[in-house]
Amino acid sequence: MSADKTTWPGPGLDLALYPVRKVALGAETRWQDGTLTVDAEGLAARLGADCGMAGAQVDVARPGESVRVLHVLDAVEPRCKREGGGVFPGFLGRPGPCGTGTTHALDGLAVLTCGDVPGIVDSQVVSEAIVDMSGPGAAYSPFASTINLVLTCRFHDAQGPLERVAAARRAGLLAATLLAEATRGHEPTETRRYTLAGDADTAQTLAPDGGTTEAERPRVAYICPGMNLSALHQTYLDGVPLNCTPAVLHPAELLDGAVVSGNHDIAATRNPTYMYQRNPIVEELFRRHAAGELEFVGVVVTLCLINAYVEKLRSASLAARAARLLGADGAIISIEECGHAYTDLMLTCQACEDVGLKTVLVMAESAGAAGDKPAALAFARDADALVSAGNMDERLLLPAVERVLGGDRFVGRWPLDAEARGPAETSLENMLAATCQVGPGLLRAEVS
Amino acid sequence: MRVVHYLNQFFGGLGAEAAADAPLSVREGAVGPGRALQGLLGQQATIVATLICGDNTAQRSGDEITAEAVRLAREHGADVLAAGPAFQSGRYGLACAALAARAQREGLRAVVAMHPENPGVSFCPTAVPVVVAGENAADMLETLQRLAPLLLKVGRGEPLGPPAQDGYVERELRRNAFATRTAAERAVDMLLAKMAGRPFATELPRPRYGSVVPAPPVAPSAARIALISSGGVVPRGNPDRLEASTATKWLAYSIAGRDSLPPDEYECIHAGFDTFSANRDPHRVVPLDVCRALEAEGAIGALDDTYYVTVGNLTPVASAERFAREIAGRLRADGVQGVILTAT
Repeated sequence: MSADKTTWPGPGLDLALYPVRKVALGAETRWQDGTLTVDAEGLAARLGADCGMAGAQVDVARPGESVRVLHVLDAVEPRCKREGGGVFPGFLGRPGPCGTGTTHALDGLAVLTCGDVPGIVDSQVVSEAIVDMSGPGAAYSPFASTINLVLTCRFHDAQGPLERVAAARRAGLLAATLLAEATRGHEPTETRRYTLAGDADTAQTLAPDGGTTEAERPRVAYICPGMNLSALHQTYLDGVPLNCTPAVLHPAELLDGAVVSGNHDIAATRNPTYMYQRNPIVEELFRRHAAGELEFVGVVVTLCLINAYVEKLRSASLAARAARLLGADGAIISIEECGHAYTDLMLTCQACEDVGLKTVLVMAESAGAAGDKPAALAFARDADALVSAGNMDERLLLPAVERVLGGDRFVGRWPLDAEARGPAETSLENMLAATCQVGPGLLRAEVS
Repeated sequence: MRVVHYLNQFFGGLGAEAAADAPLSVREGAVGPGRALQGLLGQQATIVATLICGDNTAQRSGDEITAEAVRLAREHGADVLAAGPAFQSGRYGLACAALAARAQREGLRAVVAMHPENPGVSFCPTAVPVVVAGENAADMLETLQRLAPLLLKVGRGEPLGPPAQDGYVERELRRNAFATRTAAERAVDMLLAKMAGRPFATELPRPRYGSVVPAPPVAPSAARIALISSGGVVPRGNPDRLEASTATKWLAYSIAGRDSLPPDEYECIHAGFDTFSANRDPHRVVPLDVCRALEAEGAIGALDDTYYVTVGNLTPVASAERFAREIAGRLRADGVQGVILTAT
């Protein structure tokens, strides 16, 4: 590494995309023209050794196949750095700034880390999380559209739940990096630049057609809560669990692995690591920033499911203050999980509105199976702009499938009473990211 | 068209609260407000029988009462069952809703009438229209004027007009659908519109919450006080199967002669918080030990013999309201003046 100091943040993050249209298991791990070959045995052996597990099973689940993936703990997009640091600071390298330089991404592929984690930690359990690659369930998970490398972790008998999820998390992140390394030296099909720097060609004065000047552009922050529900379910920033003091990040850092998901609670409302790497709200705000429609001023990472009420109030207030100090006039607030996470969401909304920030919230609904229950458990006086991520209580009949990966029976606090192969009737709660509140999906609930 | 009409003890002419335990009975033809309703129905329908039941009876023996009521309605050849108007009377509204749910399940058309904020509204199946009624019987005539034409439409199987036009409660169902843009895209669109002062449409409107006027304070040293908890502390083994989440019921247990809730006899089954401490010592959720001491000192006049429990985890507001009304009925009957309600 050069002894010269560089300034951070730099001009932006370049995401070099290496599409994956086909995955095969083979003798060595390589990427060529859209085909990824994976040395499954080699990968499994490396992960078992490096992550303190008994072993791992590597399988492929492709869109359209009659495959059901169970016990998903996390989803990660394979990434590695061409230069400019490492991915997943705090996990696979020291904590430090990211979001600059060039990051390689295997576009269209997700590593689904799966594993059986029985047991209770502070009254919390690991919940079931299902991805159906075809059939009616496929419409409800974004990972039905990615080619998935399913990593089924095998743990030592003596490993308790916390050790298991930590080992699986490390395995997923490591697998993601090792797979992405196969692209080193190759040319990407596309490079996307995520930058907040002004474009010299962008009009700085009022354009004849009435376009805005930079000074007139609405200034928008993104407030992004991660979660914490006992030591079993936590979101990590630079490798350390979030606490109730918000952190300001450059938006590209969110995309570059600064935040990692350790949430194994209700599947539909998890924000898996993939949804930070490909955070739809961040991507959309970058896109509109580049188009001159707004000024994206930054990201504030907070925490939800905070236990003490005064800490909830403080977190909400600090988030609003941070957004204001970034220069925002408006904020999008997402959320993770449900229940009293919605209290954090609403307190944050009100704290923002109280300091002059206009807010829009993204929220899933618990409206009951028939859609007739009050959808929201908490509300704020000025919460007048909500986007629905769908009713997680609606029920779905999953058909019988040919192959089941990740596990062999349904698990969770209230396991589905059915064969893993199906058919099985379930609420959307069990479908991974079905009502994900960082907004990747088209699902929403409407009045009928 | 043959109509069977359901009334509570008061509108059925049996008496007020004192008659709330009246059993289900049937009278030929129209009774009480049913007569005015018959006048409005004219020749187009006949109220062939009226079912009258005490509100407490309906609440206590819900399933048997609704089964019997529907059976009686069928026996009288009913084409449609009308229940109410219940106005703001909670128990009556819930009884009407339960009856409507049973009727609908068994293929008998039904219409009910009550105030839009009566808790019975959310327990009425959405297929059964709830005719808008005012707050109390002062609104009887206007309510019946809305009920009669709707009853005829439902009895004939005709489609209803929009709620505002046909005078029934607009009930929203939230149904999932796939939009053409992602939630993230819609969120940014919505924020830009809001910041620019352009119109936008929220996808989740603010719910209307009622506001509760607290009862006047009681002097505890002169009062009979009951212990209630939404914290899910139940006898070990949870013999009555109280749900850990989205509770459908409340339970009552005797604490007569008890001055403690030992952890080997009681447990906490709530799934919304870490129950480790509550299971080590259930008094952390239900302070029976302290209350007995206060009772002995005279700081509490008397501690009631019954402890009431449910679970508040993800329990809808409408359910909690129903539980509260039902428990309050018992508290009244037992001469309780104040309650210590412990949550989590």
